[in-house]
Amino acid sequence: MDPLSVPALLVAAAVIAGMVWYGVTLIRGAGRFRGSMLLSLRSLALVLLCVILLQPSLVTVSAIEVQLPDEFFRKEVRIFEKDELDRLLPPLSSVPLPEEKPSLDVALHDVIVPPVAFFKSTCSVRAVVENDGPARQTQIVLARLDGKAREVIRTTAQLKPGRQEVELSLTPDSVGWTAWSVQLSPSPQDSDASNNTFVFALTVVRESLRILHIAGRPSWDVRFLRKLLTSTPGTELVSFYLLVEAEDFAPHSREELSLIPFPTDELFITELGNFDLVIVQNFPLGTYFLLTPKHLSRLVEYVKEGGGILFVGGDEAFSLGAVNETPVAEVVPAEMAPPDAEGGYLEGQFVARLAPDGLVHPVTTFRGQESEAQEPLALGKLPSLTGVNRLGRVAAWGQILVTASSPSTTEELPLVVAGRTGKGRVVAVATDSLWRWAFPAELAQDPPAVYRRLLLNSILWLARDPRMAGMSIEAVDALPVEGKPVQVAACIRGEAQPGEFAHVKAQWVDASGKLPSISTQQDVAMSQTRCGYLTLPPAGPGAWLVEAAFESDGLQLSGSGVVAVRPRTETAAARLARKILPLLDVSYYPLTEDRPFEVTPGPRSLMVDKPEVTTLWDNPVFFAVLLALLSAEWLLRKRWGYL
Amino acid sequence: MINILLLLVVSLSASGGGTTVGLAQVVLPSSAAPVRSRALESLANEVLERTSVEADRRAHAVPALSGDRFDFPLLFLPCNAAVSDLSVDEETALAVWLKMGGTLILDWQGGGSGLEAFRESVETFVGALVPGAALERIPRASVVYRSFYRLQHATGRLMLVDDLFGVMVDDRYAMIVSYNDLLSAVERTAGGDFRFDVMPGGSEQREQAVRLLVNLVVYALCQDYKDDKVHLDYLKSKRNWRLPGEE
Repeated sequence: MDPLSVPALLVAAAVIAGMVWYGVTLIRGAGRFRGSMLLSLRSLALVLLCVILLQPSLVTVSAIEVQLPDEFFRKEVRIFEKDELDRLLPPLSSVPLPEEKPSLDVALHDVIVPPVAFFKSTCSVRAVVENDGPARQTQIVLARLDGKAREVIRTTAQLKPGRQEVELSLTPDSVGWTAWSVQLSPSPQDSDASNNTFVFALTVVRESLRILHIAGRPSWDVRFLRKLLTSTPGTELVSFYLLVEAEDFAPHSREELSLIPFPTDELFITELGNFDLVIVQNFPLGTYFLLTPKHLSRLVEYVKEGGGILFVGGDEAFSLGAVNETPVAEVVPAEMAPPDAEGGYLEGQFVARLAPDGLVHPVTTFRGQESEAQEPLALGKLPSLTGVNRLGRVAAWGQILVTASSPSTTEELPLVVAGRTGKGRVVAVATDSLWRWAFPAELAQDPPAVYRRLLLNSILWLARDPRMAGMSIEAVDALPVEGKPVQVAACIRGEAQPGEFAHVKAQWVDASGKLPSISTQQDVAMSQTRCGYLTLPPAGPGAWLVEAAFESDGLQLSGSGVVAVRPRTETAAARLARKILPLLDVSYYPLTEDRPFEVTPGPRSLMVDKPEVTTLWDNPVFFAVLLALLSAEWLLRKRWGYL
Repeated sequence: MINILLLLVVSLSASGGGTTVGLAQVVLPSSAAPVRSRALESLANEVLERTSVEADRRAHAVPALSGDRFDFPLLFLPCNAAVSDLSVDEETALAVWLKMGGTLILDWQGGGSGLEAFRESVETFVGALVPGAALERIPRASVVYRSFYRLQHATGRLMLVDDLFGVMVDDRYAMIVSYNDLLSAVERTAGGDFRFDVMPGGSEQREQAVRLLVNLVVYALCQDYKDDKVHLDYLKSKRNWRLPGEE
């Protein structure tokens, strides 16, 4: 009890009142001198008694570190020796020790997954299991958390004593951010079921992008794009370039050439749906005799069904204008201007710059090294382009991302146009000299990076890679745990004015699938860093499936993400501390409570903060003084006749 | 020196639009090799007539130290004597150009007498530009011999060495060396006649030399395109092709 606490003060007030009443009575009956003597003796005895009774309030606190033996992490053992107990514990108490019995706990310590998994390709999920007991069998369940827990894999593992990894083969069946849980099935032999669950998020992308690359003629632009495609991991390339034209002189037989027929039916009718992306580079769409309306209609259908096309310009590409008269016109994001007096294909020196939409579009932005938001590509100081296709009216669904201009004209020509039509996406790059950005004059310059980023961004965006979403969702705390609020950052690519809002919806899915899900939604204000922050309520082990949308000035961005909420993990030392504390929570003195013990678990030790007590009960000096005071008071009262 | 001054006067402009492929000769101050503008123009005509490549009919000359070399990912270096040592600046300039994606074709035009000295100088030249790399014989099965035409061996105006040699940089032959005076086989006079006789094979050998030059240009543009599985499978199954070394 604190001496200043209300009960203590009430007791003190009562004692003082009693002493005052006793003193007044004595002085009235025995006179001032004798009354004062008797009152002093009784007061001294009372103070001495209080000191003996209230001594825990006067003691100091000292820290004792107890090293945990190695065996403790496998089984609970006696950690306090007898002499240590005498020093540690209050003298009036006896504290039972943890029994010496082996723990039978099986714990899921961690789950190791690759940073990125590939769609429909098997990836390894390694569950790190710690078995404190003997060898045994256990069932491991891998479940997908997508609105509910859906069991995907159930397998039986033979566990040895100690830590080990159990490998599961997971084949993701959808692209995007996904949430998963791994659970050890409950067992009567398992002494602690609270550590049998682990939740993790997995980014699933397409492993190998199947790309069809057709080109109207070999050129430097074709060569550098081919180099980029073949050197990019995860691309499977099928190429067809027209190496001859109908009018070419041919002093050779077919057998002397390494040319093969352009398999139009096979590529555009049979196999087209198997490609994630088609690149049409400087190709005379609309005039090439082997590509009939049947093939072109199939190409349109391919886009409407979700395919992607990258059109790259050149002297034979859009400028021919004939494509405007074909079904393909429906899926080009800008009108391909026919040749006229000014020409549909312009030669000269052209400088590129980002259009307003280009500042925020996934194709023309990238994640900066020090920024959590997207930065626009730096197009300044790049080598100038030498050939540009003049595009016409941009489709309602198209966005101009980059423009080009030359010193001879103030006109800003659309250079990169992107858009979504049907379920598909299309990007048009209206130049055949982008290679100049891949072949800079100095190693120190960075144009190759811009070249790579622009084209790889285009490819990934066309293939609907989840990393190219307009908004990113990430937990501020790297490892959210159960029972604590989770702060989530929803960031956009490009510009946002502070004070603008993003709408964020979040749904929590229980890892075990037993509890109903929780939903919340909120409008969050965007900060200077182009991020809005949302605090999700504390939840159990599971996953928050978060969707965010942002709209401003016609700019519409969206994104989704997964935040895994992990079970609270407890070290062996923390577990011991939790068990010891209730045992120490006892009272030893009649009028006071002990100061609480504090037990701080370390990796392999316990730090115990304990009140140091020097007992007065068994001290003969205090006892003799108390006895002398009371005896003296009694003798005086007897001699003076007040008994 | 006169050659160099003339070259600087002649043409240093970049080729036309982005699709146009300019053929150019790199000029080293220490080289006494004549300018082969007419040979390059003849080659451009052959490429235009035989392939879909939009070759620039004008030849270009590019000093090694000029930034204009970055307008030309493919450069020819005709040699009629051992390649002299490059200055540090020239080495750096050409090494950067090669590393960024340039392709250099060395064409020996000196006949049999100085060939060995040229070969040794090329080894030094390669070591200076691509440290650690070695000149290697280009296998007959390489895509260089079938990038457009199917060829069996190297040839030229002469038949001194029936192989090409090359230096690999980033999985491509960034430098290719011919010992058979290739450019002379394709060069025509203003009247349209071939300027040099071809020995010993005559017109048949000339045709093979022109085809090899066309292959080199297409290889520089398409790299290993003709190594793609879909192409090789077709050629092997439908035309019964067997690459050298295959049964």
